[in-house]
Parts: sequence; structure tokens; C-alpha cells
Amino acid sequence: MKKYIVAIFAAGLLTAGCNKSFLNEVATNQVASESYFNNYEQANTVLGGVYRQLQSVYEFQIFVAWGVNSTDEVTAPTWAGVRRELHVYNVQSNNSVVLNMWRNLYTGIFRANQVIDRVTAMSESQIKELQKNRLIGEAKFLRSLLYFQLVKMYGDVPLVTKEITKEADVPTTRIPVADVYKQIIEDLQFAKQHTQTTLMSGVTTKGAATALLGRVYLQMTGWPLNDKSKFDLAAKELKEVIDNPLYGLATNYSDVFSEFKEITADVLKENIFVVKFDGPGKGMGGQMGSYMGPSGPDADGGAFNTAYVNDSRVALYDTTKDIRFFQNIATRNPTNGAPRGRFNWQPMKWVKPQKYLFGTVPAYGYDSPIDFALIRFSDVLLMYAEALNGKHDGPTQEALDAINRVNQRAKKPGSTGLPLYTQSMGMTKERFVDTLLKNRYLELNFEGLRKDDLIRTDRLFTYLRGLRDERFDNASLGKPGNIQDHHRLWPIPISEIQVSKMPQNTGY
Amino acid sequence: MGVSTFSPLQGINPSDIESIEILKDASATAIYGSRGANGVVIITTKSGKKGVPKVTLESNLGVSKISKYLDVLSGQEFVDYYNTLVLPPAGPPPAIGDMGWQAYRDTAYPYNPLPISELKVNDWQKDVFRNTFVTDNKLTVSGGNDYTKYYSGLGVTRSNGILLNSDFTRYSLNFKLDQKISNKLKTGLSLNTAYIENNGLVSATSGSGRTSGVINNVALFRPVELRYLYEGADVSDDGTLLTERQNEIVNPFIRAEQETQNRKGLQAFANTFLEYEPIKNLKILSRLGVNYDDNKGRAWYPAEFGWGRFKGGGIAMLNHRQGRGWINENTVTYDKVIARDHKIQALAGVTAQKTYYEYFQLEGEGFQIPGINIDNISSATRQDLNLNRSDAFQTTMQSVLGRINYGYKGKYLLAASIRSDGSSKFAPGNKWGTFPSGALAWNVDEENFFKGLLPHVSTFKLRVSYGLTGNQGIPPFQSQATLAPIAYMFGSNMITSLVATRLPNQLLTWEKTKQLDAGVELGFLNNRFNLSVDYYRKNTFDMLLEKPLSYVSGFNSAFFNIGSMNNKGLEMALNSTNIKTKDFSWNTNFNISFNRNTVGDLGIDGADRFFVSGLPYDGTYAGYLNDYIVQQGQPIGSMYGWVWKGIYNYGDFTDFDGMTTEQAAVKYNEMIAAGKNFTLKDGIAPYSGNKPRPGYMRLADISGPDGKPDGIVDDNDRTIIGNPNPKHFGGFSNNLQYKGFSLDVLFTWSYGNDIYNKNKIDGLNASIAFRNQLGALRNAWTPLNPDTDQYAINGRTDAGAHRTSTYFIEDGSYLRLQNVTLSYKLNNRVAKSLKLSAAKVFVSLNNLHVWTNYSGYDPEVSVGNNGLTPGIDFASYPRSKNGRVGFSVTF
Repeated sequence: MKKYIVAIFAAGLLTAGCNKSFLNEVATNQVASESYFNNYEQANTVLGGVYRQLQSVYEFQIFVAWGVNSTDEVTAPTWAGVRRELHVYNVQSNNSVVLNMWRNLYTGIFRANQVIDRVTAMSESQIKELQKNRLIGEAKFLRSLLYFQLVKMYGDVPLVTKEITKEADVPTTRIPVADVYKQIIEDLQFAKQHTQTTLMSGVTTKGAATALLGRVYLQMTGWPLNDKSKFDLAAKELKEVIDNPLYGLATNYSDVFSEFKEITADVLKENIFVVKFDGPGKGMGGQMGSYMGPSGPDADGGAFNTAYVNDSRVALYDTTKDIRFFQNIATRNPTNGAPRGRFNWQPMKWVKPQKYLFGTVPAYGYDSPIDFALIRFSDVLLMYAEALNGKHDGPTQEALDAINRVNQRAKKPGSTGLPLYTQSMGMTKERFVDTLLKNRYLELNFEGLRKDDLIRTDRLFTYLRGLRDERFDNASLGKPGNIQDHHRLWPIPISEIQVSKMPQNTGY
Repeated sequence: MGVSTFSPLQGINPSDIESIEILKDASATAIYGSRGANGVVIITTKSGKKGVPKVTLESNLGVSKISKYLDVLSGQEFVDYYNTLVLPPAGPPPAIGDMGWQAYRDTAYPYNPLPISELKVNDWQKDVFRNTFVTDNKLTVSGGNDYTKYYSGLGVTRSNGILLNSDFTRYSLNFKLDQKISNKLKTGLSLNTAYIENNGLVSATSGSGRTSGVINNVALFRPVELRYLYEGADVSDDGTLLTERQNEIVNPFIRAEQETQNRKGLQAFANTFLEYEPIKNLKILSRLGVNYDDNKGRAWYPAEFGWGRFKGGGIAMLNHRQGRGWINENTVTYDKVIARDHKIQALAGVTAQKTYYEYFQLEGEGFQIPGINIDNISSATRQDLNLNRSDAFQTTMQSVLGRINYGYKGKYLLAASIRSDGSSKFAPGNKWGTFPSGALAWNVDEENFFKGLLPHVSTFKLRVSYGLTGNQGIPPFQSQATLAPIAYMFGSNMITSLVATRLPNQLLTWEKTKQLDAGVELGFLNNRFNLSVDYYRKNTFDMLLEKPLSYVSGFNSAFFNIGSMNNKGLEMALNSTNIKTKDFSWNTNFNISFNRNTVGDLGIDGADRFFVSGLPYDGTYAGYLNDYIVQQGQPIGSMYGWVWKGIYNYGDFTDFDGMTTEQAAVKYNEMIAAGKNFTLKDGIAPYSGNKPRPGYMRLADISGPDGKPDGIVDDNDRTIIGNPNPKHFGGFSNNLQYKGFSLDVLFTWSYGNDIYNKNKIDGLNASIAFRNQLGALRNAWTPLNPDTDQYAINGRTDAGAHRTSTYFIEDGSYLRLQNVTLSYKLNNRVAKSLKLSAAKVFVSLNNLHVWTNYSGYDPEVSVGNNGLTPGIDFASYPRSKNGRVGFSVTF
């Protein structure tokens, strides 16, 4: 007995005291990044993490907060909290959306830089040249996308193009907008050259890089660069996409936004680049269809009660002939289909199945499977028309044709008279811009593009100041017309300034 | 649900405790290494004593109730508030049934308020909190002989919580055995086990979001059932309001009644030792301890309301957390007395320890068979992969230590020790830290020259110690760059992608504290009065702090060895035997502690401060971000924000010059109706970007971009607004004994600490219109009631003042009558005649009264469990007061 006890203690002493690896720390729930980039499959897995970050970036922050709530497309009710603050331009440097956006974009940039640096360092035995360039091309596309958002929202921003490995390497100097755009264009040109041509939902293709490059050039023609020479470059890139037989308009407008169904080849050719979501219960669901849609119980396909349409903008629709009205404007109660008064109409678009149409519907909650289309073919057509108008200082027949091609699809079957909305060669350049903005509203509303459109065309102040909101203008919190010059940008988040001491945007 | 686990102390039955010893100075804690970085509490459980077996039975029964209700608006007050806040629209006639404004109004123009007599009114605090019973029973058997001693105890504690349907049950079993095998060999075993079960909504923030925490909803859930439903509100078949805002805010009574939240824990500590004395004075001691902590949580959110309804078909969750570990300590001790007066003890040893942690969680949604859910989770129709998860890691430590004690004639005592600790949490090269310490004591009263010098002084001892201690308290893997899996899709193929987890810091190493302690112990009149005074100074450096990073890095924060912190303080304890006669005695104990804490050099380039947020931020009110600051020269945990200056009033605007209150009120109403802005007088600063009105909350303009007031209230005007550290705290107790009777009265206090009362953020906030408000709103500013500091009902939400300010900081000083106990011990003669060896009965009252100005439930509060953000009250569980009667008999 005695010997036995002694032996136990001695054994414990020996195993614990003399084992050299006893203090090693080995993670079994994560992998060491040092030793991970060994082949194409591993690198591609980490690239997936960059794509994944787009879910955080686009879902609410850009799609709703920047692109929709801060524009003339909607009115945010007084109870909508931070969304109301953004809507009435009562935005401060401690705004949570302003912070989350900034943080999420740089997190994505870190991940893209990590893939670019690590894949670049891979040897020929680890990865083939073609695959290597493709991965780097995709990462550069994603990086350019993130910087494009950053530069539009915050102006001059720190430019990181290397994987950061220690705190001392974090740059905090704000680089001028023009230089950030230079990097964006360089990345997109690389991506255009090296990404795949085969269409695949959610994966970067040559067409996506080309279309984004067109959009970037077009944005550069507006504030703050006002580089009118870019109209020509934008038109060239966009034309390349239009002429590419892989891309075109889907047959039915509503199919484009019904991605809880199967993704058909017909939809794939219109949705040039999408942010993927899947759910419910897959660990990557979105809230598409919940931020917007007819308010009501989630289990009946309802959405949050945080946005109403602006009536004067909805009035732009020819409700008798334009099928887009029914896709984009929620006019009925999701539970029983009862019609609602027009001041209670709400923005829709990515529609969850509603109970009054489908009976029992899946309860998506915060976890819906609907993809977010970042670049659509109809947008490319309308951007092309805009680029031509800018390039030729007025509309051309080709520009009119591009608009009409979009409207043609929007026409309700059986309705007579063409075109649905009229625009003519006789319009001045500026009037044609207003027409384009109207058409962009009708086709692309609630897709997160509106604020960039208004800034680019220098209409942000005039449109918002002239806006009437029958429902909430009297509320004490202010109105969108309160917008001031500095509101074309968001402030740098206060918590960033507190850490890195970078200068704040003027006016905040 | 139950992500929290039970504290190890919950598993110990207080009546099994023989003694509690608290070690603070560096020399005394040296032997415990980094486990003792913040001091050591040694809880010694009872051992058996030589003699005939002793059987003791203890039993008590108590009642418990909430110690305080929060002051909230009554039903009528709430309806008045609501109808003032949510006005019928002036514009086009709205569609019926889709806005909140009709809740308490007529359907027809002019939409008159409904009389409250037609509506159902609830007092949720009265409905959800209750008076309950507590019972505690305990049986122990102990005994022993020259070779063997044993003690065993079995206890059952059951207490019903003051919150409806909550309860706590503990079964504890303890066993302790000391066995002498031979004169040279001794061994022993102790085992403490407890099984704990907890039911009910114990966690204040459980549920899906911040606003759905049950404690806040008990106070703030709509107290009057609404007449007309608007979308987003949900009612049961009998018309009871279940939830608001699309199931986000849930009726607290229904939750307490119908939700299942259950935790079960099994805790075990086992210790065994073997001591061998091969030659005289040389002892070899080997100790092996194992601990096991198993925690299982179960939750069911029914399909009928709230989150379970929102997601459809109810939600069942199971989680399981297991922590276990072992520690092995091996020491050799040599004792020697040389030339009678020199006593030497030398010790050397090695220790190793390892802890294991495992966790998993399962969730199922959409249950279709009534009554089948949590016990058969595979009957769920849906799962959420985000919520099904598991985790596991291990940590290890190794130490080498040595110590020498030297004593001369019992007058001078010297101790020196050194230890080297290695931790798995640091990268190779930085794993080890070395920590020396030394101590000196002088028992002056043992000196010949002292004897007779001060005849009234019976004890006079001096002691001083100095040492270095280490701390490695950070999560594992902080020095490693890793990638963590996360789901994504390529095309229609789901893949597992990987994302970087952190900015690693391979330089991380031990945090260190230099600690000086000096004390004096005095006894007078044969120790009838005793006074001890201890001074300490602690300098912690290379602190392991999670510092915010520039977001440009791609990460929010990372751990660094940065900064230093100083603590110094004085602790005094006085006990006095005021009266002592044969039958009567009166003893008084008094202790008081002073501590001063200052943040030293932060070691951040060009910065002497960084910010921390008080509670995990849920995206609702950005004005409450970064409400704590760590700043050089200031106490750690300083609250940070704006200075509240009451409200803007008529006199602050040019629009009302020379008017009476009545005239001003008329003009105010006219200007509001016309949508006009008010003009502030010169020198009255508005919040940046806001146009204040009379009645809006006002914050002070104390600074600007160049450090001077600039006429605008903005981020430049933030400053330190609260200190959570008390100036002093302590206890005061009296014990009176007369024959077998004994009366104990204990007071405790804290003075000068601030509480950040975040309950007021929700409780006086008009942005969620249908929630009830705290009673302070009764005195809100109105056009005809301008003589107040309380802002108008919209006056914070709309004023740009929706942010941390001194408005939320309250004085947390208190004096608590903690305990009054009256007991009677049967005298031995009577006990014997009843064939008992001892018997005692008692009545005890706990938390009888608190004297405080604090407006929340209780001033002794700190939620969030973060050392950098102490003193927050948000949805904390209310404290109960209770009374107990009980007895103990020994056979």
C-alpha cells in the first residue's frame, strides 16, 4: 500500500516536472496561419473569409444605412433610432453605424491583404501560376471594393496594402482620395486580367471586375475629384460588359430579387456580382427582406417597421404599366393581404415569402437566404447611358437605347404604348441627368446606390432640401433637408480618432 | 442563457468551514505563485478530532423578500405620459390599426384619451417578485483516534428566489480523513463535492437583446394593457399583452412563468497528500489535487411568445461546460534548531498544474409536438449552425520554488523566498518569470528591555515584507496568429472558410507587481484592546491589458504588457472587550480600509489614456460608447462623459425675455406649432448640430478643440465624471453575551464611491415610447412647470444629450445593517439532561436596512465583470432581505 502511494506521487512528479513540451500551447479549434498556405485549396479557403466579410459590410451598413436611409428614397420613422439619425443628417462621430462600417471595411481589407501577401509568397510547387494569379485577382477585386466604399464614405483614408503583423505597422495617415482611387483602379485592372470568365454566383469574374471599374470611373466624375475625363473610360469599361454575351437582363424583373429560389442561368447573367447569404440555420443568413418589406410578424414574412417610402418618389411610378412598382413597394399587410394607405407603404425589393400569398412560409428572421446583388446588368446599362451623356455633353441615341432596354422589361405584359417613360435626344445634359436619376430610382431603388448617385451627379443637396415628408417632417428630430456640405462624408468614428489621432473630417 | 457557471464558493457549505485566512502580502502569497496574484483566501474545512464520534444536526428555516421596489410611473401616470408623447398625427387621417398612438385613445376625432378605468393595469414588480422560503439542513459526523481522524458532512440547502419560479438547491457532501501510517509516514484525503441546481431567469441579460432582459422589463414593461393593437405587438388569446416591437420586448410575468432556464452543476475538489520523514527534521511532502466542475444548462423559449415565437415554433438550447484540472506539488522541508535559539526552516519544491476546458452548445428551433422540446432536441424542424458550437483548450503551468525561514528566540523572524513560474499562455522565450520576496518581523514585546517599559502594552509586534508577484490572467493563444473557421458559399456550395482571429503578440509575458507591506500589532491591558494597522503599497507593471487598436489594423484590440498601476492603502482593525463579567460580556470590532488607486504610465506611444465601454454595445445608443477611461494619474475604472447642467429653460433663450411663466408657455406652444427654432442667448452652448428647446437636457461646454470652451457641446467636452472607488469602507460589529444568550449586530459601509446607473438610460428614455418610466419623470419640465431640473419627456432623446453624463452618476455611499442574530446556547447541565452534548437555537435577520441616496435597487452593485469598468448598475438582480430561525444539536 505504502509503496503504491509513493509510486503514484513519483509518477506524477516525473511526468509533470520533466516533460519539456509541457508548457507548449496548441490550439485545436483554430489553425496556425503561419503554416497554412500550402496549396491552392488552403489559400482558397482563406479567400472565402474575405468574401464572407462582404456580408457584414453590405447587409445593413451600405445597403440600408448609407445607400437608402440617408437619401430621398425613404422616410425613417421617429422610432427607428439610429436609422432616423442617419436619415435626418443628425450624424455624429460616435454613431454606431459609422463605427461599424469603418471597422468592418478595414477587417475585410486586412483579410484581403493577408491573402494577397501569403499567396504571392507561395512557391511554384505549392500552387500553379494561373491559380495563384486568380486568387490574388479575386482578393484585389475585393480589396478595391472595400476601398471604394471607404473613400466614398470617409474621404481621405489610411491605405493599407500589406498584411499587418504588428501594431507598429498600422498606418494612420489619411491618404488623399485621388491616391486611394489610383490603388483601386490598379487592383481592378489586375483583377480584370486574372479572374475567371465562367459565371458563378458570388465569385469574382472578369465581367464583375470590368463593371466595377466602370462604376469607379463614373464615380470619379463627381465630387470630390470631378474628373470629367473619366466619362470616356467609364463608357469603355461598361460597353465591354454590355457587349459580353455572357451578360444580359433576366427575363423577369421579379426573378432577380427572389433568390430564395434556385439561382437560374437567366438570373446569373443579370446579377454580375452578388454577396452570398444562405439560411436559415446555415450560419450565414442575412436580413435581406427583413430590413425592408411590409412590416409584420416575421413568421408571416413580415419585416421591421423602420422605413416608409417617400411618397413623392413613389409617385414617379406608372403604377398601371410598371411591374417594378409591385416588386419594390409594399402596399399590403403580409399576414392577410389587406391594402394599406399610401402613407403606410414601405420599401420592398428582396421579398420574403408572405403568408397571404403562400400560406405557411418559412420564418427567416434574421437569417434569410436572400443574396444581395451588388452589380446588376440593368445598373450597367444605366451607368453606360450616364457615361455617354457626360462624355458627349448630352444624350445620344445609344444612351436612350440603354434606358429603353431597361424599361422594356419593366413593362407590364399586355400594356400598350411605348416607351414606358419618355426621354429624348432633345434634353439638355442636366435634364438628362435628372431623367437618369428617375430611371435609376425606378429600377434600382433600395439597392443601396442612391446616395452615391446623388453625390456623383451633384444633386444630393437639391434633392434632399426639396423633399417633403408628409408623415414625419413635423417630428422634433429634424429632417433630411437639414443636410449640410460636410454631410457628403461620414465622420471618422470618434473611437478611431481617440486611438490613432487622425484628423476628423471638416464639419464634424 | 446560462453561459455563467457557479462560483467555486457556491459548492462549499458554510458550516463545513473551519477557518478562513486571507493572505495579502507578497511574502505570504509567494508559495502560491500566480494563483495568488491578487491575494490568497485559504478556506480550511473542518477536520475530525480525537474522541468519541460526534453527531451534529443543524437546521434552519427562513423567509426572504425583495428589499426595495423601484419607483416607476403608476398606470394613470403612464397613460398620461404616453398620450403626451405619442400624439395623433396632424396630417392625413391615418389607417386604423397600424400606429401606436391609438393605444390609449378613442378611435374618432378628436381622439380623446381613454379613461384608465376601462383598461387593465399591472404592477409587474409586485407580480414578478414574491416572498419566499429558504431552508438549510446539515448533518455531520466526526471523530478519530491516535492514528485516524475523520469528518464528514451532508448538507441540503434549498432557497426559492424572490423572482417568480426561480430556485436554488445545493446538496453537499464532504469527507476528510487524516491517517498516520507510521511515525514517518502520514497521508490524508479530503473530498468536497456539491451538486447544485438552479431554475429560473437568473441572468439579467438573458434573451436575445438588451431590451429584453427580464429585470429591466419587470420595471419598465408597459403597465397598462393597450386598447388597440398595432403591428409589432402581440397578445395572447385572453388579450394579455405578450410582446412588443416584433417580439423583442417580452412580458416579464409570462417569461418568468413559462420559460425554462435551468442549470445543474457538479463540483468536486479532491486533495490527497503523502508526507514522509526519512530522517529527523526532513520532510518530503507530495500533494495531488484534482478539481472537476461540470455545468449543464437547459433553456426553452416557448413558441407562444417572444424569441421563440419570433423564430417560430420555440427554441430549445442545451449547453455543457466542463472545467477540470490537476495540480501536483512536491516539496522538501528541513527544520533545524541550532544552539536552542536559532530556528531554521528551508523548503524547496517543484509544482505542475494543468487545466482543461470543454464546451458545447446545441440549439433547435421549430418544435411541432406539444410538450416535446428540450428533452428531445432532434424533434426540432430547424437548427442554426451559428448556435451549435464547441470549444476546448488546455493551459499548463510549472514552477520551481525555494524558501528559507529563520527565527531568533522568537523575537526576530526572517523569511526569503524565490520562485520561477512558467505558463503555457506565453510564447517560447517569454514563458518564465522569476519572483523573489522577503519578510521581516520583530516581536518587540518579547524583548527584555520592553518588559515593564510600557506596562499597559501587552502586545507589540512589527512586520514588513517586500516582494514581486506575477499574473498570467489572459485568455489562451494571445501570442499566436491563427485562423478560425467560418461558413461561406461559392456558387451554391457551402464551404468552410477561414479568417484571422487576432493581431498576435509574441512578446506577451508575465504581469508583475512589486508589493511592500508594513504593519504593527498592539495589544493593551492583557489584550483587552487590540489594534492592528497595516500599510501597503503595490506597483503593478507590464500589465496585461487588452488595449484598443486602430481599426485600420483590421482588429479591435489586442493584449499587451503595457502600463502600470499603483495602489496604496491603510487597513485598521480595532477590537475591544468593553465589558467582561462572569455572566455578561460586550465585544466590539471595527475595521476600516482606505485604498488609493492610480493608473501609472500606460506605455502607449504619445498617449496617456485609452477608452473602454462599460457593457457590450448592442448598437442602440452610440452616446454610451467609451464611457470609461484608463488615464495616467487617475483611478482605474474612471467613468467618462459629459457634465450634466440640468435643462435649458426659458431664461436661456432670447425668445422669452421679460415674460412670466404663463406668457412664456403660450409663446413656447405657438413657436412649436409653427415649427420655429428657439434662439439661445450668448454664452449658452447647444449640443453640436442640435437646436435646443426649453426643457431639453443640457450638457456643459467645458472645452473645445483648443482646450477652451467654444460655445458648442461636443466630444471635446467629455471629462472624468465618476470614481467607482470608495474613499473608505469597512464594518462595525458588536457582540453581547448574557449567560447562554448572544446578540450580534453587524453594520457595513462604503463611502465616497460613484455608481454609473445605466438603468436610467432605459428608465427615463422616451425613444421606446411604450416602456414605462422611472418616477423621476413626474417632475419633468412642461411649459407650465419650468422650475425643475428634470428634462421634458422628449428632452433627452431629441436633445443630442442621449449620452453618458453625470446625470447617470450617483453617489454609491451606504450604511447597511447587514445582520442581527440572537442565539441561545443551552447550558451544559440542561443539555446533558436531554442527552445532548450541545444545543443552540437562533434567530437571524439579514440585510435589514440600507441607508443610502442611491436610487437603484442596491448600492453594492457592479455588473459586467470587467476590472476596467467597475460600478455599473444595469439590470442587476435586486437584493433580498431575509430572516431565519434555526437550531443546532450535537449528540
